[in-house]
Amino acid sequence: MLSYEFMRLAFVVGILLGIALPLVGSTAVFKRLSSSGDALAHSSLAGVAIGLTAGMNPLLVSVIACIVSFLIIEFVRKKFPKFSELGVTVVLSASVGLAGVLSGFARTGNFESYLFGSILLVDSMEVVLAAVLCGLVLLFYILFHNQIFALIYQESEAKVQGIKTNLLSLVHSLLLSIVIAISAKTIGALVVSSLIAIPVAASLQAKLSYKWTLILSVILSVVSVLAGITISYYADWKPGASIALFGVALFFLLLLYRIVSEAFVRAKKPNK
Amino acid sequence: MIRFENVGFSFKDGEVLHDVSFEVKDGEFIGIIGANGAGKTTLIRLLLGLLKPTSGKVHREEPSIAYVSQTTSLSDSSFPATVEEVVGSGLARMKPTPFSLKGKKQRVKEVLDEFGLWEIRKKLVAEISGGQQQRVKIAKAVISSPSLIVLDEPDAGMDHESHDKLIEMLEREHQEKGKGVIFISHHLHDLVHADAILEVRNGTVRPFVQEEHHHAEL
Repeated sequence: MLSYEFMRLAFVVGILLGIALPLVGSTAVFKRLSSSGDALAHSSLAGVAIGLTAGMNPLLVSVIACIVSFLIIEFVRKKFPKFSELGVTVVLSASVGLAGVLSGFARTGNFESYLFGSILLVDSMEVVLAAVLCGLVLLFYILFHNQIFALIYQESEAKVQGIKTNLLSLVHSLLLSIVIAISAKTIGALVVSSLIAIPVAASLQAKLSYKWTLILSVILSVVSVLAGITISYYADWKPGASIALFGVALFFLLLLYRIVSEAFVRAKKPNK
Repeated sequence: MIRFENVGFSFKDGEVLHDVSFEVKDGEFIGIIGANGAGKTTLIRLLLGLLKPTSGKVHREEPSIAYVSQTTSLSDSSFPATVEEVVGSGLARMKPTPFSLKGKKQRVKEVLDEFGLWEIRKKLVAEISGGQQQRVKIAKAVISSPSLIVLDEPDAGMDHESHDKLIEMLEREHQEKGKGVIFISHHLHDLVHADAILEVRNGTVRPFVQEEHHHAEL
């Protein structure tokens, strides 16, 4: 399998995005914004459709579409806090509509490949892009680990402490948007949101500290990507779909572990 | 020292506070009371600089303030955080982590010991008792050695025992360590040691006068 260059490139890109996605996803999940990830993944599809129709670089338009969508979601969330989920729904619906209509007019490229991705078709330029992006995400989470934690714990308290919460949120939003747009091309727009939330949800079942939850979610994500690509090679399944299914299977395994271990602890406690 | 000078604040749907003038001196324990919706939290957010007044001015000459808000992710089981992580996050500033680690571990240990949290430092905060969660909140606030601690009804939904412990901790910080405290509370008896009590009423703030109230509890 590894004798093919396309497989080696697929594994490298998969590992890089497998590291970046759950990290940016974790902050969104803990801030209860995981549905935004879904909306952004769909807006990346709309961006691709616009790019292909207008004869522009679909990846670039997709990144811009994701950033604009996130700004709309954030604007609605801040201006109308009671209807914050509405922004996500509007962006998601508009994106699906735009992508559906415009994909029919796409002049070049294969729009369908963006639904489940084309990780086996990545070129060396995309590997470099994924590596730079992964490096930026890692740097952000290592350098500002404590600040991000304080922001998630309580934003007002963090502000009073002197943490620039708006700046941190903005950098996170930009990274989230760009990571989603790039991942949509390789893993697939419909699968990206699963790698944002599922590894984090799975690692939460292990009841670890914040730091170790992040580390475990990255490990689970990378394992899902490696296993998904391997399964797709031997079973001839779509790689993106295989990655998503393996991630969900890991989630259920850890959920089962949690249920069993909690039942075991309850059984060990003496009856009062 | 914090001074409000004819401060007013309005949201889009109406005025919340007007003509608010008062002063908090260094090291004072100030209680703030008022009915629900009277504007207590708005007053605190103005004091902390989280909101800007629509009129008047807030002067802050306080070198360091710690804030304990009403709502946190403490009891949220979907936020995985250990006691040690929450308390340590009180030291987070806008400095990249590797440059702010010096002396941090030692300080976290000191505070965990002081608040009796060392034994449970690895536990998730969502899984400890309400009383222990209060200690975590206060420990996080005092770890940076602030000169003023501002608390917005941190005792909401707390049992009696935990509530009493919280008051005990605050009085210790004030009396033994000379820290300033501004404490929003629904219970007048929590504020017996306060240097002054301010009442938020009819959109403004004035010294609390017991005789104007039929009940000791608000």
